[in-house]
Amino acid sequence: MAKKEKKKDLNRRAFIDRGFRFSIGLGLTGLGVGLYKRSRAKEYVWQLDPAKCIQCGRCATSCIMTPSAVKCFHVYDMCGYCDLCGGYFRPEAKNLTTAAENQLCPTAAIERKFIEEPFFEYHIIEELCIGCAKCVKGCGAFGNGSLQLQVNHRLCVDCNECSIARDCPADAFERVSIDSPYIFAGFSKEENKS
Amino acid sequence: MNRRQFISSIGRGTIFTGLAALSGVLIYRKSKITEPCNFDFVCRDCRKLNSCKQPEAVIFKRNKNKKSA
Amino acid sequence: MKKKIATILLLAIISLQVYNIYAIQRFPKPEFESGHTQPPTVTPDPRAQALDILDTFVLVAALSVVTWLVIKKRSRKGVFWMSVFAVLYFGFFREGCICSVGSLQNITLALFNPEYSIPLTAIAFFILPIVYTLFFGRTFCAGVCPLGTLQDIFALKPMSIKTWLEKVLGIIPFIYLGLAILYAATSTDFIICRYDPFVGFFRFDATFMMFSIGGVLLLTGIFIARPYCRFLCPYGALLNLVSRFSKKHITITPTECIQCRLCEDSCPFEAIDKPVLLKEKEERPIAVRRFLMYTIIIPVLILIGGYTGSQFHENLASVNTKVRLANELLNETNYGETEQEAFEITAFKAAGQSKEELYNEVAAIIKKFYIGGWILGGFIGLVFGLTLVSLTIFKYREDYTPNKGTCLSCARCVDYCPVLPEVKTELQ
Repeated sequence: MAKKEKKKDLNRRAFIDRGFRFSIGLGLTGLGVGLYKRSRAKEYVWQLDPAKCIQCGRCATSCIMTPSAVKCFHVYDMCGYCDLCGGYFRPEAKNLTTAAENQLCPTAAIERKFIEEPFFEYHIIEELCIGCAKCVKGCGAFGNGSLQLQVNHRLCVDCNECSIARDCPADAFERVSIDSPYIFAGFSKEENKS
Repeated sequence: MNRRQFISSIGRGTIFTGLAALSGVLIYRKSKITEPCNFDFVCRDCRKLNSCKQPEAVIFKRNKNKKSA
Repeated sequence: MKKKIATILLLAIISLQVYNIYAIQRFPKPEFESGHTQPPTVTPDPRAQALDILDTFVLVAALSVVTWLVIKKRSRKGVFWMSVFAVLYFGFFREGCICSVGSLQNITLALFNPEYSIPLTAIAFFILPIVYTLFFGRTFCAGVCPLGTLQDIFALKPMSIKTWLEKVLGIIPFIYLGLAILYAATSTDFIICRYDPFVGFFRFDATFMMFSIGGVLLLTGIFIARPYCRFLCPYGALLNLVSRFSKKHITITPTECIQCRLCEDSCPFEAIDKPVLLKEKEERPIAVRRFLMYTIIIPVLILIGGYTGSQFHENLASVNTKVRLANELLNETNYGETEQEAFEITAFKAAGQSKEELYNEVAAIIKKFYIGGWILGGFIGLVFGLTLVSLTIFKYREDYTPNKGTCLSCARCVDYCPVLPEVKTELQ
């Protein structure tokens, strides 16, 4: 009889214990969810700042993805639609045709389309681009700088520590808010005025 | 409950509290980080600058203060 | 006409050798007469955030299932299939990132650098396995960690190694842990991620170096089971400590040990403690004296370790990119390049920071490394001391029991035990 009573007593204690644990767990979960919602908007992703980029070409080789998740992006807003495009043609190109020996891009990832005299529209074939920054350098040196390197977030696996960031000599990689995951360098104010 | 179990349960409690405190601190800090800002050359004078915690912005603000002083 | 003007303009610019000036509107945007509309710049969205939450859910689910399989079901087969799942999901599908082993660096960075906005998944991946370990032993290692489970599948012909070697090699994870924390705290590098041996396999893509290290580890793992987990993994070192306090832990026998010794050699990780009989215990006074002596040695070891660590702080700091840059600038070594200016130096000049500012910044970093060197060295001294002390402690035990620290809860030993679990005779 005594044994039975003891067992019952234990059961009650276990019940209170369990209820206590359960309520603590519930409270902690609630707190977690609340804080989670508040901090969710502050997730970051890797991106490279074109203003700092020196077009060294390491983006093509340092990324853990092959080909690299860094691609050349064409900011059409800034493009001058030049015929003689510094990003498209090699500096020593003999004639301005689309022949491969005239093209700067090693993988022929830039195609161009005639719009109207004398404008051409340039388009980057993402699948072919390896992120070597040759065209970016050419366009920045001779043109408007409308070709810019960016991390393509469809391809980027968002490593814990970006392996390009580690190798980037210009420290151009940074974490940016997931709400505005691309940084394009625009014209600075002085140049716009002139 | 023998002595070994007692020590073990104290240790467990301590670690658990420590973990709870750690995650609490981290999430609290994260929730306190103000609106994200991309500190680049176009936004050097934007109104977010004061609260901007990007390393470049911190250096920029320090230099600005030095110059004005 | 316009074309000509554009060409002339371009030629003029080329002849001026204006170089590397970014984003200057040299050519105004044309106004098209043919009504051509400019296409938008395509910017693909980042990975949906929902998938991050999914990762955390899968982690919790996998941890719960493995724990249940280990503690309640006592099924090695189940744990094995969970291992396969972990390799497939966290390994090949998520490509080894995010992982708990690396997350400890995010936590450290966030602690030392409040401005760093740590991903919530990183917090979850760090905390959850520790909590599970705190209550149920290292079930995370058994069937959730993709690095561990990959090696587990490869552990085909495990051999035993000498106990002293096991103990000595067992110190390495703590040194690795200390180094990882030092480098993450000084925001220098995430060395665990950098030297992750298996992530290259998961991504089918790695440098030759990484492939060979991973390959060597996997091949060694055929004979010496899970070499990375036992002798390198820094997160394993943490779990080892935490697991000692675990509430429930896998037991070899479901009820009572019958001393049949069948399980004796069943553990590929040498994590089964053999019974220590009272007879074998040393004479008490001698044991106490030895214990006291080693306890006195510990502070001495900490001091020696700390001093040695602080002497190496400049070597430790030279990994930091800023420190390296300052070194190269001071010695004018140009990163060993002879043909052209190194990219780092070009970028430094372009950034407009003065050398003095850089040197001041670097001096602060080196000072951090000096303090860090003391702490790291002291920590290593402490680990050495505690390992020594642990060799002198004999816990009296009658049965074969898994060592709570080193046992990975893989449940292999369970199949060797002939004792049947108590059959519940409750009426259905």
